[in-house]
Amino acid sequence: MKTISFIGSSKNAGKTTSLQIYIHHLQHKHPHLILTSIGINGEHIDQFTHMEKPQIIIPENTLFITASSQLTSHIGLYRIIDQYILPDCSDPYILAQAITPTAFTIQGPNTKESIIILKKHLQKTHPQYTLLIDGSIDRCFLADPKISNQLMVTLKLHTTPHNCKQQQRFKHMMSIPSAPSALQNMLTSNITPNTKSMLLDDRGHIIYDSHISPCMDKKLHQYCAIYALKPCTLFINGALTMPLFQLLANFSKLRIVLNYFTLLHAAVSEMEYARFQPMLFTLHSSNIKCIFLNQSKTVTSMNLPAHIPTYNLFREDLHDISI
Amino acid sequence: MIFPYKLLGISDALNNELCFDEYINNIQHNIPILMNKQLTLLDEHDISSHYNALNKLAFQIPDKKNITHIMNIVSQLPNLSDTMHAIKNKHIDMHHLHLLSQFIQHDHNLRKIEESLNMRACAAPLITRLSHIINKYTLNNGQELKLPKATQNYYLRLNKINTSISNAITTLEDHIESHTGIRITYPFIREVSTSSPYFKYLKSCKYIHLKKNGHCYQAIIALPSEVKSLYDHANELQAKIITANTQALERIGKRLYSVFKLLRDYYYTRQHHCWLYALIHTIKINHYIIPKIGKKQIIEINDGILPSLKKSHANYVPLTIHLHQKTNILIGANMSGKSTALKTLFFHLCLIKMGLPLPAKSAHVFIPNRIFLQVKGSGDIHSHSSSFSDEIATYSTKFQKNDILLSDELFTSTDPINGNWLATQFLTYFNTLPMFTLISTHFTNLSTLPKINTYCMKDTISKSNKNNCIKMLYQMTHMTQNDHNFTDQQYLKPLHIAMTLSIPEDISKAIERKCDEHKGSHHA
Repeated sequence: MKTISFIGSSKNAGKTTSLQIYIHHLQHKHPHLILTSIGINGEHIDQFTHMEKPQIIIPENTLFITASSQLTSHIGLYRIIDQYILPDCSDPYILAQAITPTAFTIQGPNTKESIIILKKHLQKTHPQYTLLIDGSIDRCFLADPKISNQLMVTLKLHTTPHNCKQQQRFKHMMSIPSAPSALQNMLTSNITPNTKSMLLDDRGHIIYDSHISPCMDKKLHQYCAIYALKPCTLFINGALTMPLFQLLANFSKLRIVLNYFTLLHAAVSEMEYARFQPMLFTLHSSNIKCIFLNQSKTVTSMNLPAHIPTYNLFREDLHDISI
Repeated sequence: MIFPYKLLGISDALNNELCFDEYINNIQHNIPILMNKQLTLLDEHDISSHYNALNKLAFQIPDKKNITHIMNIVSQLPNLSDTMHAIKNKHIDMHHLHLLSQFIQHDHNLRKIEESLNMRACAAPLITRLSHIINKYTLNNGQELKLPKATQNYYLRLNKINTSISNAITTLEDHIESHTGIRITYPFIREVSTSSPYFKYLKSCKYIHLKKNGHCYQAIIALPSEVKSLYDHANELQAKIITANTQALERIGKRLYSVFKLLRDYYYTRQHHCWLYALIHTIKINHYIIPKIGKKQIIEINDGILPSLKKSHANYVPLTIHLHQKTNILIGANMSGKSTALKTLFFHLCLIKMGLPLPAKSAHVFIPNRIFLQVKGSGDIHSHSSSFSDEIATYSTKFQKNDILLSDELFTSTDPINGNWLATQFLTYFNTLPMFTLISTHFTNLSTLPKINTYCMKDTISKSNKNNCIKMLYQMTHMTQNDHNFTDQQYLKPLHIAMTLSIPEDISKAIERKCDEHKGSHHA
């Protein structure tokens, strides 16, 4: 089944609003939608404006998945289609259908493992449906092709230093090219689902293979210090954090391949990114369907990837968006 | 499901070595009704009746096709633990009713198969009663509640109001677009700058609320009072619907509470049957067996497998062991498989203690009370114990009837003279207790003790062109009094085996000289 996840550059970037606009425009064109979220969808109060945030109004007849405890106060406004016990929660998750448009709180599964199991169930019973996931700022695994076929990215354009770095990070992430096919083939023939990092020499021989998160893996750091002066490839299936980014920054002969683009966690300035000497690739292409801009002030110098459709969330008509 | 190895006093290291969890993985998992199933140690009576029930079921479900069909239904039976709790507390929710409805449906299908196989069909009247409650109060297998006409009217009115709201908002959006030239979708915000050509029209539109935000304005549709009142009306109706449904749920909760005890008993029985089906399925799929249980202290296992070893060794030889007396010793050269035999036997006895099927061709055993496995160790510096004190502590346990002690290399933890003496004393002592022992040893003189049965691991050493290699048969043979010269044959066996391993050349030459000397003295 197709899965589209909504991810955002920061807290309150407008993911839920993007999702809601998306549903609003698609509910008649494409009725086969199932909504869920990573954990509880958003906070009820906007962190910047301190105003109450809009809740998701689930349109009539739309399917959604939420924890059973979130439905207790809405008895009679939904019908149960199915229920699932997933590893991350002892409460069952309910696949329900809204009888009337209602502001349900969506609390979906919180871990990669649970979402994969949920998708297996849905694949059997609702293969023609599209699963929409309201993402979370700290769940980079949504970009994993095992989870999402496509991503909707919401960028909040700010002028505050923290948010500027975060929007730069998103811009950098989206500009990472896919690895050349020969490199992809070499990696896919060597890595396993448990591989967290792998260092290979220029002939493709494995120097180091690890199941430990790369930012915590001191042995990996030692191996890089020894071998990365010569041409070699480092595959990373974990967060490329700021310390790791800085550690690898001067290895000009190193090729770094991230499993998917959201693993770039280091939020750096344009200049720091330009000074980063290794070549950076992704194993799986980013597959961003569109970018929603949440622009409270006019920011002109974003230079977003030209091939991805960009919509200004609050300034443009969004009628032509589709599944 | 996790194998509760700690209940059996098994260390983490031994659990990892014997891979109990790998065996458990052969039992079909992901069955919701068995989700919280915990394996426990069974007493003598329970093990006996459990294996009897399994034998009966295995007879009633003769082929793999039937059990696969049964397991397909079993895997759909929902887990009602949470629902039981809710019924007991008279606090049920919609998803509990939905699960109960699913349970009734799949239980009905299961009972139909059970009846077709002439198996005991259980407690149909209760299920009929439950079905009656569910059908009386819910629609579409527990998906929705059946409601009185007055509440149904709320839904009809709500639908009408929703349609009116939707139409009113579309009309409003159209009106705004025609008046301002810009399409704004309720309830979403639209940002416009003061320099926008639309700004002056938006400013003059009575259905638009403008709010300054930095350099621009946020435009949002301001609903007219008639649309607002439609929303209020819809909210009122929703509240009435929720109240009516909550009250209906309370009524159903009371009805279900009246059958709570019957339902709980039935559910636990059904859960137990599903466990038995899962075991029969494991037996049929993996060619496991149900052991024959007897009162007499004998152990007969034919082709017993240690699954982890079978998986990792291509030429793995299963264990056949026939122990007919209570005190037994096992002798054999190094690397002839004595420890493997003890561990395989221990593995099978642990499974019996939990009422699980055995990976073997056949087995006839008595029911063990407690099972002890003493393996060579190096003590524990934290508890100030040595391997010798560990051994003494184990052998000094107050052994009870049908306790089983399996020990690897009795008293090699001390010097051979005192070790041999202690081994003799303890073995003679064990013989006076109502326990059962199998002890491996290099002290071949123990086989001459009265009432001790001696078994020997056979081995052969073969030479290939490149290397000496040892080929184990892992065969255990019972030695009679006539076989005692066999112990002489064992005399240089460790040296022959050492020659098959990678050893310094000087040692190898020394061994050859020693063998020649022995041959010479034998001929003389």
